[in-house]
Amino acid sequence: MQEKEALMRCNPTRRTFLKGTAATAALAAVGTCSVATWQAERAEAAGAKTQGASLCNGCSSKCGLVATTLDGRLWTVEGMEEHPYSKGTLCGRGHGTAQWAYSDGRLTQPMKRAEDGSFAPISWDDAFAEIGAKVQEILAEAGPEALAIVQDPRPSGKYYSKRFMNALGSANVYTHAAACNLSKESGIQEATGASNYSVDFPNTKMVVFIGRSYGDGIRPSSVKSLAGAADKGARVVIVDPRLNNTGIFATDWVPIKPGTDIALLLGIANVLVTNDLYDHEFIEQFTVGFPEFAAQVAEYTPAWAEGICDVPADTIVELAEALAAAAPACAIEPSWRAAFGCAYQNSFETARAVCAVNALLGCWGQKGGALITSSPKAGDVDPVKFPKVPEPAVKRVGDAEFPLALSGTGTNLAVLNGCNDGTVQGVFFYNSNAVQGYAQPAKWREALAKAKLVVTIDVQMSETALVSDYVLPECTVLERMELPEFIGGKKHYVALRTPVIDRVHPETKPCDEIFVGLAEACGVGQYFPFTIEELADAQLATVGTSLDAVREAGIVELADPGFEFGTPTFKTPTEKFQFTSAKVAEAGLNPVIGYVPRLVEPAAGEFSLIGGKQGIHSHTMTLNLEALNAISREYQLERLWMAASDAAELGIADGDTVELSSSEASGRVAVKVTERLKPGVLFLPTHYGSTSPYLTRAQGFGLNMMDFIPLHLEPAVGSTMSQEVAVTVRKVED
Amino acid sequence: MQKRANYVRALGALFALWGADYPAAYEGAQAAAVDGLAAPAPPSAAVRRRLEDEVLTLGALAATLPVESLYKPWASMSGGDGDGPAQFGAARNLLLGDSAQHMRALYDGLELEVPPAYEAMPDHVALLTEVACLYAEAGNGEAVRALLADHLDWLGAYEDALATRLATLGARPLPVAQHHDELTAALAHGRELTGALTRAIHNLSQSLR
Repeated sequence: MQEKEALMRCNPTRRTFLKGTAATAALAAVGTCSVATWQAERAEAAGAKTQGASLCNGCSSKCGLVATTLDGRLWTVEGMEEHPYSKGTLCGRGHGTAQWAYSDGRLTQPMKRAEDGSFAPISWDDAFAEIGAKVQEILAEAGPEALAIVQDPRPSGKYYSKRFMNALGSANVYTHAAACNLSKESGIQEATGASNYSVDFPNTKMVVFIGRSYGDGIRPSSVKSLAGAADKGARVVIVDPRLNNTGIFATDWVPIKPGTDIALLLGIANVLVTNDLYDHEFIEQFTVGFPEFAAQVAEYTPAWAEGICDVPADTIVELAEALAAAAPACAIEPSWRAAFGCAYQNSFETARAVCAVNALLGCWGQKGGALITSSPKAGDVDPVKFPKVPEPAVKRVGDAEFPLALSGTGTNLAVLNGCNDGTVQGVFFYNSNAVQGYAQPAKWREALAKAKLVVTIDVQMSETALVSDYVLPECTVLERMELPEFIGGKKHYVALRTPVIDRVHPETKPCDEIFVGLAEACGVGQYFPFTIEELADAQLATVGTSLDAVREAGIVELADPGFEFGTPTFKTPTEKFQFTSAKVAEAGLNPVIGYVPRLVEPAAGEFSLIGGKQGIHSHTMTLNLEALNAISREYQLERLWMAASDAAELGIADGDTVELSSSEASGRVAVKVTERLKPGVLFLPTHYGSTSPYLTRAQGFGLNMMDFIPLHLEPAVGSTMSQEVAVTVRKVED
Repeated sequence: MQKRANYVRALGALFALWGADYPAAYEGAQAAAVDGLAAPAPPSAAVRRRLEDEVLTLGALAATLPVESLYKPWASMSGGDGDGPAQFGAARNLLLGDSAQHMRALYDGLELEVPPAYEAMPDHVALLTEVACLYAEAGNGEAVRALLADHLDWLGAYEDALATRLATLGARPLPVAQHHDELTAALAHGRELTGALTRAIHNLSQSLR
């Protein structure tokens, strides 16, 4: 009988759930125990109010927040003023996810899956011991390369997951990027040597968004920056099949055929080169491969581009000329997931094309242009207190097949493939719902069913948890401390998650404790002889501050990185901006930035399907939260968007139920008929269609886009090609 | 009063986790029954196990906990100094709401400790009914009345939640199809227990007038 259950047993003839002798006088007292009396007393006496800092976990931005409690209970959360991502504001998902600590939908104890698929509680000690035994078995039979971890990076998780896996001798550490921004960051890296950049909104005259919508996803500060630019009269162009919610700031909406942004970009490049509108000085001094690129781009005329992307040639010319006139105070915005984070066969190349246009405009590092900034990181810490983990001897699974994937992320789909071919036999997931979101769920389930061990660390019984052998419950963000989070940009900062409320469920743990427990059970505990406080303090000391200081302030600005406008140092092998890349050639692709088509071309009667975020949800994570779920239901946010002209042709009215079908799945959902969508395209928000019966508010609500997507991996990169599908739709008659 | 409160307590205890000892808990409830009220008969071991593992356990498959906070607005507190109400004040389905805070205050005053398993649920019906019985045994009718009125007035909402869970069960694919019948029976039994407890509370409340 488990300890927890023992505590709940009592002598059935004389029960005692509550412990203690019960003060006789208090039991006999009158007029003191009513709720009304208690509330009146509390109203008169101010409750003990405390404030604590943390970083939101509503998405991967980790905006700074300040949580205020009254008598130990969460009263309110607000955006941290000083944090560069929140700047005093938290988005809807930030407010909603703050509820998580008290949600009735949380995991409260470790769970073990039985053969019949049901789950039963297991003690932490037993869970660790059993997992440790299975890991030892896998190590003995197949070596450390048969173990892997997939995680959506968070301050503690990214450190402890890597350390744990490397300590076991495995290099198989992956992020969620293959289903997020892998293609985009890999492409930007190849062209510029940096995996990302930002637009200098305070000074920009013109910005072009390819698919990305600040109004729907991520960071209050981004919205504020864009709003500021719009107020100053900047031209804001949204290139998107859908007029997304950034439209309120836009001057132009350019509806484009999905997956063809690369053609538009190359058409713009053609105009800039052909009409000699590009920045000669930048091109001559700071780039390699321009002659080859210019020769190739000659064929990418606006008329050619129009034939592919459906944007009129005149529009392409006008955009190019306007950008040239605004240059260098202009940029193509880098995007995140949206149109080329992981969506198409050509996503990597689209990212390179984005960079190429910025290069032609000469806006790299310029006021109003595309800025590559630096990020701080912790320095080396005492190797005695914090022992160095030996580098794994064997390369990460997938790196050879996908050499262009960003080294910091890899492609997690190598794990899916590895489970299928037996290369990977044990998989850990942290803060990751891979099964539901990273590729077609049926394919993930099929693959993971072949693994000998699947362990998920999460706060709820996600679809990934549901197919795991062990599910280990983490406590929520407001209940835990994490390692410092370093924030880059024109200024450098460090911030911290601190526990703001007491742990609600005693049998949940923060991930550092979970990983330490796993490490000890797996025989590598010697690499974790420190507490998280000790490590945090040591890391912070290397950047000139301390744990106490950051706890006190919530966020600390670090030494000035000395950002200056001007052409950046491109950290590429050539030390220049690369129109051509040897590494891309070695991967068997065209080394010169050029046209790559999308894989799937919808036939007559078929539609393209695109997805996107809503401002109150993050992927598959948030739908079960009471408040956010209620908003979705109130406003029917799960609906499939359809262009009005398409709807009229198919006899579909707003609110009708339709059946959406692809080669992989069919499902029914209500339709939102709108003028805000290009004909021939359907839009499905990517938060719905949960299949976990434990997520009672989310299960069966709407459709999961990934169910409809065939499994493809982008060549040489390994992204999930999340929108390479053609679908049909028909009205469901009652 | 004491006997009626003891029956309420015994029925409240049936919402705790008993494991293999559950028959004794039902015997206790039957022995404590008063005024012609009939205590529910024990279900089969499989149904009782399904009730405990999947309905009465937080985070479980059909988790529908008899915890007061889940069925009432979470918080009426305000920041004081005109700072406004709590962020989720009107939300339901959240633990550790006002009712839980009040019960903690009562336990402190009574020098009672909440066991770790109930840390997040100090307003669980098993604890609420136990306190009601303690007050009754001390002869404090006023306190019993207050507790019934303040903290045991949500069982209708709880029974509705069980009914909703039961009604939607068929539409929700379960990991193990053969558990469906047991879970259906478990939810139905949960409603039966709730009905019995509601009648017992009404009986106690009437006797205190």
